[in-house]
Amino acid sequence: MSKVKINEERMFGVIKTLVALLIALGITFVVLCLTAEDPLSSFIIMLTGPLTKLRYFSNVLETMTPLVFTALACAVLFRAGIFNLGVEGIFFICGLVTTYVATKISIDNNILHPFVAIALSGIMGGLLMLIPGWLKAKFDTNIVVSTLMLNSIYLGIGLYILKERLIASDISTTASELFMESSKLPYLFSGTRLTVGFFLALVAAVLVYIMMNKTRLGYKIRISGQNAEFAKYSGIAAFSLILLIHFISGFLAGIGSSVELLSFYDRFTWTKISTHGSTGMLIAMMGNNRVVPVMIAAFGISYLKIGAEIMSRSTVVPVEITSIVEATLVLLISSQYFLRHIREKRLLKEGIANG
Amino acid sequence: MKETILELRNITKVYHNGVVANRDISISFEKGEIHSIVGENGAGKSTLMKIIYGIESPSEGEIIHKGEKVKFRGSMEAIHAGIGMVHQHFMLIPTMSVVENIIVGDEPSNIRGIVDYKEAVKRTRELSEHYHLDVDVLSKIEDLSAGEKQKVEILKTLYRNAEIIILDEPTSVLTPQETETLFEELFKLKEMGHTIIFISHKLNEVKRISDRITVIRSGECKGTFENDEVDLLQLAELIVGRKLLSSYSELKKDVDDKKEILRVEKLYLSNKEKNILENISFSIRSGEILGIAGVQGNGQSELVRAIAGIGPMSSGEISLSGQRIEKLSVKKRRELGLSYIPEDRLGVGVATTAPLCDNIISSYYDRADINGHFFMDRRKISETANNLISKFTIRTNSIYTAVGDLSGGNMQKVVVARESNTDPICMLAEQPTQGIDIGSSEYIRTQLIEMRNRGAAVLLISADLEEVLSLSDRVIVMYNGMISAHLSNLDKISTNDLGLYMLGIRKQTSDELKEALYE
Repeated sequence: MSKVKINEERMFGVIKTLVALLIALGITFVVLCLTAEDPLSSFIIMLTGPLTKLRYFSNVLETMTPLVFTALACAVLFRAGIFNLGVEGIFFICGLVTTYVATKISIDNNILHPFVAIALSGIMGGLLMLIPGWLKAKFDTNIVVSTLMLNSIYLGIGLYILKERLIASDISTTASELFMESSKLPYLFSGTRLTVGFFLALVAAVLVYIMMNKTRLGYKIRISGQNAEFAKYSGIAAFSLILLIHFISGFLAGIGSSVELLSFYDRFTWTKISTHGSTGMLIAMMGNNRVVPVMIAAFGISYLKIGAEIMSRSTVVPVEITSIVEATLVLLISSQYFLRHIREKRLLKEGIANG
Repeated sequence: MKETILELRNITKVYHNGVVANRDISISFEKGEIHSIVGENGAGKSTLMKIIYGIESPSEGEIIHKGEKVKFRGSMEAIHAGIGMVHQHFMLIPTMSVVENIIVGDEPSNIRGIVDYKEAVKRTRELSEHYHLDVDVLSKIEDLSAGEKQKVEILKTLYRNAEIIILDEPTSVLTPQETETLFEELFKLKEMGHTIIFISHKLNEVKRISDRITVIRSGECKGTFENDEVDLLQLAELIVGRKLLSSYSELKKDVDDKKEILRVEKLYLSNKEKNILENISFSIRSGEILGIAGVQGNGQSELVRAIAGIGPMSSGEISLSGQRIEKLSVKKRRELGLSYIPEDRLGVGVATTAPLCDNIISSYYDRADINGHFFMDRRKISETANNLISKFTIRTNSIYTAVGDLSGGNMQKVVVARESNTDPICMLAEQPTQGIDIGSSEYIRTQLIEMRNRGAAVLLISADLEEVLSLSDRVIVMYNGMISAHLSNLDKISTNDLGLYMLGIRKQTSDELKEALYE
């Protein structure tokens, strides 16, 4: 396979994604026709809404910020062939670490304060992710089961901590005290709510890209993901590798959680597992665990979410309509067979043409 | 002069990726002959057959069938023209009966369009009797042996009135007895006027049954011969395109300063019920190939895996150049100079979905010459990969080709290239030439001898007795997890004697076996 051929493969991936997107939007439109009063205009609002105002477009990037972290956290593990579902649990409990730093520790410096919160949150995430990682490396436990269980455990522990240690005395709902002003992440531009967090997400993406494609660690992850037996035979020690990538994944998830809270929240208000983890997982799958497509997918999903939100304000259609798009996209893109015959036909045609 | 039934004229086939599978091939097939097509893996035999069978269309050239120019647009048209094909892998539905498998796609039906099962059974039985292809037509495919399934495949083509039957590597799944039966059946079909096109790389089988033999090499026809015109060696050389070594021993050079490299002492591996490996002791010196003969499944695999560090052992000592390694990691053992060509190429030896350049460095990915301070050096990796590709004549389009897309022989060359690129002092070669073509096999064997000549110790495990005997300096025989014989004077050993040790009928005394340790 020459380089040209690789580009062709990539091209096919792009075409496949676009067709999947069209089908997903088509299905959404059909659902809109069945439910909305004015389906066509609702549909147009959903598709173009985010571009109509700078604030809306900024909303897209804001939504994208935590998703980049969770998607990368999933992608690193998935690429190594480890189907870990624990990112959402880590995302939840690390939010409490951030909350603790943001409400209980006063650091009178608005750079240092969020930095401490984010760093501690990331480290905590990494350490907590080591638990399923160690169970996997040592006892070869089923990572799907262990991480699902841990998600529940983290939720339980987290709620306990929230209610016993961090709960606000001034309001009646279950939420933490207000975050200190010094802990909040500064805005990137005036006029939008976009914070330094978005910049951090881009940095994280670049670092993960370099790690996966340029370093020996990335090589080990790729080889292990493609054939674990082969990796073992080649002398790539699975134990330390599994622990390391779990730490990295948890670290990313922890930072994501912290960035989300310190950018867009005044207090910790989650009382159940948020959808950031599961959406991140979908995005990782859509992007085939590669950084660049993952970033595009993160943007695309955020765009649709904001589009749907704008639509829901002017129509009766609920925001949840985007779930249809997300689910359809994942099903179609992750399918090995979808559109395969077209590609084969094309290859055949070329074969005859060149002959 | 016999009647020509099918003729290929100047067939050329170019695939989309620019690979020329067939170049200007002309062959004529006569009525009532067994005509073999031989060639290495990837020589273009399969493509040619696909063209005859209508699955591929030729880029150039024409096909003359019974005097008329034809162009099949799909296998259906070829079938209607009386051409049948039995694929290497059975195309049968295991849960259905023989009858159902034979009639599928061409069912006899009654007026209401319902399958007339009675008629189907009757016709199938008649067919089976007429052609002496005995098989119980009502039994299910999954209950049949490989030989019987083959009969069903042939019946399937005959049911569709095939006059020309293409058999693609038909004996690869058969036992020797089943193979003999198949040949008898083919002779009968031939007498009845059918034309058999037999594709194989097993040359003695080809010699045994063919009337004429056509040799294909790298997509080109190297001639069609009457069976008695060519002998086995000539045929093999035509296929490979050069002189073959008649003996490997002349390649061997004496190595001075022989030191002990690998020493295995009292190695045991046991599960709850029994010892899988029992009291295995041997030693290999530098410049020596120690062969392990034995019927597959007598502990050879477990032994190599234990030495390589990817399989378990219960007790015992393994030393490499005097250093104990049985507790070391795979990586440490490799750093000390151990290399390993595993038997399970696809499962262990490569990552099929990963590109060649990733595969060819896996056992030394962190070595300084292909790494910078922080990052892997892509340029150096490409250089290394390209060097190995040309040195080992690996046929691939580029270093980015997924290894799974290469032929078996080329894939194995990737493994051997990687494993020798660390300058090993000890090479574990487990079934290094299993299932690969003549040319690649010879090359890999030569490589093992070169390693030996450079002073490495080679442990060769092979199910191919000839390979073991022709390459090894000494041989141990394994039976039931134990060493049953150690043979150092190979000239005086007959395969018959070896057979007795391999089947556990004879066993050497423990004193004789001590020689394996040079004691």
